[in-house]
Amino acid sequence: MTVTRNSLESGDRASFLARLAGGLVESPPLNLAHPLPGPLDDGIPTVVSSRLDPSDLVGSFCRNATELACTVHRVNSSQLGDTLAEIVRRHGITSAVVSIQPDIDPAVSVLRELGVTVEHMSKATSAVTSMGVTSADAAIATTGSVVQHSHTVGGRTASLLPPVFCCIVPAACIAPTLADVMAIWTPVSMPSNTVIITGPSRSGDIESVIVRGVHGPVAVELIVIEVT
Amino acid sequence: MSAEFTLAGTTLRERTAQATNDERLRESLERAMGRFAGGRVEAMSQVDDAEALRSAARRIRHEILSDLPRVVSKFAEQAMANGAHVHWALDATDANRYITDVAKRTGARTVVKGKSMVAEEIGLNHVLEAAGLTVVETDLGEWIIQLAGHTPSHIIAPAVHLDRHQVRDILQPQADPGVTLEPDPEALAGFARVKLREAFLQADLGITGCNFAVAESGSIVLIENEGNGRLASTAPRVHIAVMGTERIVENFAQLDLFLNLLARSATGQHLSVYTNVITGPRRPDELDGPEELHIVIVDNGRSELIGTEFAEALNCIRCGACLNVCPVYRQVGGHAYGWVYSGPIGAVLTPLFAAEQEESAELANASTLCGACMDACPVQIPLQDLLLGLRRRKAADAAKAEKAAWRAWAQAWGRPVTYRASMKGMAAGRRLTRLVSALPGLRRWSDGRDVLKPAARSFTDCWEAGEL
Repeated sequence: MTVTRNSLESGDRASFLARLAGGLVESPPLNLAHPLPGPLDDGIPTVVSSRLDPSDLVGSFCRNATELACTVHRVNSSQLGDTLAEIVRRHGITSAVVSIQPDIDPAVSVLRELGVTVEHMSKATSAVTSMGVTSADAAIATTGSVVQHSHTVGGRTASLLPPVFCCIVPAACIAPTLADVMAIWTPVSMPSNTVIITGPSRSGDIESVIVRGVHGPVAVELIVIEVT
Repeated sequence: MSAEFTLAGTTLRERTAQATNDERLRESLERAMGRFAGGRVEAMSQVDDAEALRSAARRIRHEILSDLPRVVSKFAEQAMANGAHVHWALDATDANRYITDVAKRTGARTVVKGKSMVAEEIGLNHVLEAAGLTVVETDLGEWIIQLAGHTPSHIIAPAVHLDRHQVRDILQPQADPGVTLEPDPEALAGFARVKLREAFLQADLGITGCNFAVAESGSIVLIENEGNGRLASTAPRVHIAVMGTERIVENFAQLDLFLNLLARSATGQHLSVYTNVITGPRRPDELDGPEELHIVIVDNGRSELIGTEFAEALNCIRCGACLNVCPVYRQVGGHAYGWVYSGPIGAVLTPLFAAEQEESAELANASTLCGACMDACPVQIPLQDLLLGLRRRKAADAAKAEKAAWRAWAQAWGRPVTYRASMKGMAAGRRLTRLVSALPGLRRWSDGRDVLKPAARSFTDCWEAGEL
């Protein structure tokens, strides 16, 4: 084992690891009542959920996201303007922060035409605007989730601080499962932040009553764009 | 000031008696436990062969723990390659000292905290407050109990012991003069959002826990529903993540399995609202995010469990499912356990992690050994076996007086002459049984039990007199 020290490391690594290794000298006693399962010869089992219809990824995504209390708009690209206009009207949006993703440009043009003040996200701008708009880097059909990488989105706050989060989801980016999404991640070059967003912020901390929008967005609007 | 745990100086009996006499607590528990347990069953029923997934999860956790020095080193190396600071904390004092030093060096005055059980375990809030920092818990439940001066009563729902009226009374002093809060969960959560948002935007330092750490990427993974973990790890300039050394997984394929199991087991969700994979601090081309990321890897007694019969307790992924199905927890709630972790996993971890507090040993008795906990556990920790092991260990340490009493009994009943004498003695002492409940030392035992009354004449006496 190589032990390197640099300015980012502190504490007694050698003692720490020696303590862990000390316990491994002997195997734990066998549990005869509930024996340990054997090695996974076929690898890690796949999680297969009845919430996914493999023949209809877009339908599964829309259904599951709707069940999470997201508002889902399944449209083609020519309907983007009308859809955004409806969202802006319904929530009374006057300002928005947007990501740096190139495929967000048509939405930015539409928002400006609607009279919405549009800025790039930052902690300061996201904290005072009423809507954040980004594209999705990926989406998960089984859970109705959208995935965002900080290096493509440009940051984290657009989907976090404003009360409304609007995400444009190209239908082609919808994968069946979380495992499918993670399978293409490159472990040694992950962005500083990847977030998988599964519905609006919620809490059940008071009497287990589900309340939306505790710290993150109260409303999540998903515009699923299908190429016709 | 942060609340103190009640373990030291109280007995399990005293704490459970207090809980069972609290009708509001029992109503709150009944309401929440049914929802949690039902949600888990429904969510697990929607995946194919959930048993195979749980069994695989147990095996994977075993393999990780069996190779922990390598896996945790790999994680640390990769995390540092990503630009994160890594601190190896042998114990609570070590971890708290490092975190306080970072806070001082960065000039922090206000700390926003995401929910972290390991931070509770090491008593971090006390140390930060003693160093002059203001600590604001930001998980809604944690904020409520921090204001109330309570300790968490459930691993994932820290304020589960309170009803909406109690929560309203706790939050009311935080409202501006003239503003009256309503006992409505939505209104109360909306109030918390506004109040805590101010704290997030002002705070210099964010501290969170860590649900999983991925060795192959050096990422920490934070799972939450509210967004406070995202805010605490995004808004302040510095983010510190505190993790028990056993939080490690090797790769994303393993992470996928645990994420699927955790959300379903905890709240019946198919995935939690926010799964944050944090891999180093903000990069130069990003518009927001923290400039510094510190990861504090905490041992604090964990290494002592490796290789022992209790090693599987380290497999816990902190979902709370065992609490929700436990017939003891469901009656008494989390405070009766007296320490950080409650329910069956708490009854196991407390005697192990808080062994220096002698009151912790009796926690192993806070179980019926029914095994519902293992059936619910997403990583199949054989909790009832671990509890039995702890009881055996405790029995081995039992008082000499008890051992002497059993030896005397074995000798007396081992020979016919002394056996008969003892039976006669018992019959003679029949009238004394009424006194049992009056004796202070015995009343504790006789409360809630009917004292057995020996027959006036023993079977042997009747047989010898030809009456049978």
